[in-house]
Amino acid sequence: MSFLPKVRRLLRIRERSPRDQAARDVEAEIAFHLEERTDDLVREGLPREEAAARARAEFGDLEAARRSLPGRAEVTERRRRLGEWWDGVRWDFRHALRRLRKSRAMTVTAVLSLGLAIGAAAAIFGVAEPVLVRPLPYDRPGELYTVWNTYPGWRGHEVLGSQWAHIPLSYPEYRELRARLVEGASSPGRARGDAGLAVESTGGADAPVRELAIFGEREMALTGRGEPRRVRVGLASASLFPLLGVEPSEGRLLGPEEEGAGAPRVALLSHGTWRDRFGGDPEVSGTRIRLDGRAFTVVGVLPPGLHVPGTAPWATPAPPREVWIPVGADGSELHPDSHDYEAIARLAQGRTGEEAVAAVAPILRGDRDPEVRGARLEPRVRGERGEVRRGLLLLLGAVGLLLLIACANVATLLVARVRRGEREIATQAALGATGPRIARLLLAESALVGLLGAAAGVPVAWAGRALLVGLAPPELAVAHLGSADLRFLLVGGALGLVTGISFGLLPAWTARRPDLRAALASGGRGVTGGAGGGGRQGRGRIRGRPGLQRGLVAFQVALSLVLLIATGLLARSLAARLRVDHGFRAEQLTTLGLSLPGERYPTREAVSTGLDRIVRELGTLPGVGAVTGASALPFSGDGGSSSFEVEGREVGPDAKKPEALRRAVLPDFHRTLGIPVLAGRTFTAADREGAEGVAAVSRSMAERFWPGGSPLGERILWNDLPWRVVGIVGDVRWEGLEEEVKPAFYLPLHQAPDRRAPTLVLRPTPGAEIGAAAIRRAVWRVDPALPAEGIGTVRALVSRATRVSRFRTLLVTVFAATALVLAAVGVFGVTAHAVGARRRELGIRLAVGADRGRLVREAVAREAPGIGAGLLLGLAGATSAAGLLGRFLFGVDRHDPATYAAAALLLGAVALTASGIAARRAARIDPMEVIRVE
Amino acid sequence: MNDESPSLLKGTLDVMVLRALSGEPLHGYAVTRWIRRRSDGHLDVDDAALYQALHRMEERGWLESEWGRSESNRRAKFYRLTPRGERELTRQSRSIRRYARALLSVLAPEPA
Repeated sequence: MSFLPKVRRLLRIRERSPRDQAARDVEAEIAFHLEERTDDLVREGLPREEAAARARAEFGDLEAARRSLPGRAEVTERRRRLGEWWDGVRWDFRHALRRLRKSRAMTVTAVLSLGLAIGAAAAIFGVAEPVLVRPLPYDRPGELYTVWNTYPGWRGHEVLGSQWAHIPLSYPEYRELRARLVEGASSPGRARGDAGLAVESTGGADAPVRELAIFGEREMALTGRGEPRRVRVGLASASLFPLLGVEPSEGRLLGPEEEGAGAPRVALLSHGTWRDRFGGDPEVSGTRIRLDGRAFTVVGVLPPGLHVPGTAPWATPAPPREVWIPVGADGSELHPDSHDYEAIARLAQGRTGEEAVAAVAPILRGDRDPEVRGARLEPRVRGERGEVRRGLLLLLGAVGLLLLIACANVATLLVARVRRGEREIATQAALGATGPRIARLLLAESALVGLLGAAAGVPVAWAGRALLVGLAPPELAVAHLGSADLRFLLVGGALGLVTGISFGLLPAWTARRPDLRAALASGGRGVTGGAGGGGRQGRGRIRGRPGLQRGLVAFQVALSLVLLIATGLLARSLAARLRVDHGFRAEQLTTLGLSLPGERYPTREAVSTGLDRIVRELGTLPGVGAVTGASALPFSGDGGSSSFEVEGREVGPDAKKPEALRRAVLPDFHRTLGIPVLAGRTFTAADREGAEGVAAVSRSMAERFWPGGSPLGERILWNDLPWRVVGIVGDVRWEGLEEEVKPAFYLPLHQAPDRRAPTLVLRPTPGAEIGAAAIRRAVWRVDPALPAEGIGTVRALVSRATRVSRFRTLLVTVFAATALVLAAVGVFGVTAHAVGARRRELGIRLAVGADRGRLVREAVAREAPGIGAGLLLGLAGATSAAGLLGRFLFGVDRHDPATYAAAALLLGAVALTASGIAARRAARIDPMEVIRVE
Repeated sequence: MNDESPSLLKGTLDVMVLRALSGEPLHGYAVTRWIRRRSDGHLDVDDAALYQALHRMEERGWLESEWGRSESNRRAKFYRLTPRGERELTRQSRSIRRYARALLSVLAPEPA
């Protein structure tokens, strides 16, 4: 065979250094020349001594040659070796390709397993990378901190306890802080501060806070451009965008005086809104838009990708706001107790959060006790990325497990290959291939599998990423994070190579010291025993023990079980969320967002009259059973809490005022939403402006503030007015399924100050449906200029409250299903191989009358301990890793035994079935054929 | 060294070595023998210079080498032309031939 010498040379491993080799070669070459010349001269008749001297003399400058030649020779030698190495690599890969092609089923399985896992990993990475790795899109984001009021007295409070450290600022608080910390610093004293002199004051030149800004948010009706609709409007102090280091992409930002009471009605468009709703018009500045009926002038467009999310712990992820207007321009009262604005501070260079707290806290506290009020600063980065980050880390964890499972799968298959191909390997070893050399061959094979897997992963990654971006609820704010670039494909390729090579190491390791003679002598049948993981019998084998394969299977089973259990827990959490009693019935209720603009409804009376007419008109629609409304609906994200006092109970000046959710509602609100009236009454049409102020309280509010007694007839003080409690109603989870029930009080909408933008609720008569067009026409019959959009259902609000967790559960379920398939493939492959390796034995046993079914059962029984060990390992792993899921679980214990047991049973059953099918197929042996072959 | 042999023209050693190797692979000593025989003993190559040339051309990729056995059954390094070496041989022999023709016509007696 002509390739033998080549193989032998290629397989040569130990070599001298190129320099030594070159020096030796030159010396030998010169010596040969001199000897040949001497011989020739001797033949011509010269005595040998003389001939040798003559040859040397003829050669010329011998010493110079000895000095200069080796340098060149060394270069040549190095190049030759590189070429040989490269030839070797190419030979390895050609050979590997041939081997892979020979066992196509195994190759396809391995490549698809890897491709699936790599594709999934790359897709997740493509989405996660901007969130996890890229910095916030602001100028020097590390200097940005969120500033909170703290109310230490609230700690442990059942209603407010979770909020005590994250109370937003009010506008007056912001003004005060900024005046003392920032504007004080730009006084003439500043130069001294810059020179590094310490100034003894909380403000002034030494202030640790360089700039301060606040922002808030409210939903408003946008009209005057396309279909009227409700948009999320950001409220910004004039300092916000300069603080973030944002440049307008068109027009200008807010001027320094454009904020506060009487702020000019100017608006900035988000880049997306400008592009989608204003056609990317470069002349957009000067355009008039209407928000809640008030005219605003567009003055600029914000840059793309700007997103200033709220970072309170209870803030739900939301897409970027569509319009920004100055704080106060929405007409809201900027009361010192209206803690509506999240504050961002940019610290001066080199200053720490602690220093800033020390400067901020005394100002916010004023003359109150430190036990009552304080301040807190949190790095912006952590807050802004927190929620999405946690979700993505969960996904990355899942995808990492999947990748490991796929790797184990490939390794299992490759180890099986090594064992089957051992005669070939032994042949190569006999030709002089050393262990490392054979390992290299096998590595080439697994690297090739890895690369092919990566290639198969590319379409999976593209499709997966598109799916992810498309399916992700807008709250996850995934789509605006920027598009995928080449990087995530590179990551996929790198993953393929790394996984291929690292998991090729295992089979390569098993092949490093082949027992040649035995393998050759056994004629490649190799394995005759191989039972029970012992492997004593098969001395002719390379050390690819079934024990190793079964270890890999156990590993795979364990990882799959972890994923399955995680899925089970998430699914049960989802189910629990969907089961939660939220305190109202959502069935069939249609909602309609209204806002009555100030120009046409200038007074509260005008608003009330207008509302009444709309409600009455809607009530005449066929199929409408009841019409009511409220300042905010449950789960809508609107509405806040208010502090109040119980009349007759003295509250010290420093003590905390009690706080509860406050909602203004129309008559029949509670009955329509199925909120039970437990005592007294709710509101009637008679509860209007001018009549006595009345209130209804929730059950938990009654129990908390009137323990053992009844609030009926008592009066609470809110907004400096008394409100007599006339009823007690059931509790509602206003803020979401996972939130605790909080005390709430209700006021008649027609008595409350904020009645301009209620959401109406329509209940159809049984069996009827209410069309959106009919609703709109009814509204327009009353006022043709009123935006009548925002028509939806209460059910949609409820479903929106669970869609993030539904999405999360869906993704993890997909991973777990894939893991299950991969684990089944792994077990199948190992069983099939184990049975296949015992063909001869089985054939003989069949020939002497053994029962085929029994042989299959035996084969399955041999795999059972590995699967069992994997299950145990997986249970242990899931138990210790379940903590990481903690945040995402709801209403289910993270060590829920039923989930664990069900997952283990399912996986065990799937694995044993796979094993059984494989064994049955492999045992379909014709005994005669086997024996004849032997 | 033979005093009567003309000194080698600068730059001609390479082309002669390439020519010598255009047949079967030869070791260095065989190259000198080949040149001496082909020039009827008129050209004598400086051995040190020959090996410099061999190594230089190997480095340039015109030649490649392999160790083998000589006729005398000694271990010897055999050189062989690479495809690049063959192209080089063609190029250089063409330019030298042209040069030689020009030189000869310069040296020829004026036509009467």
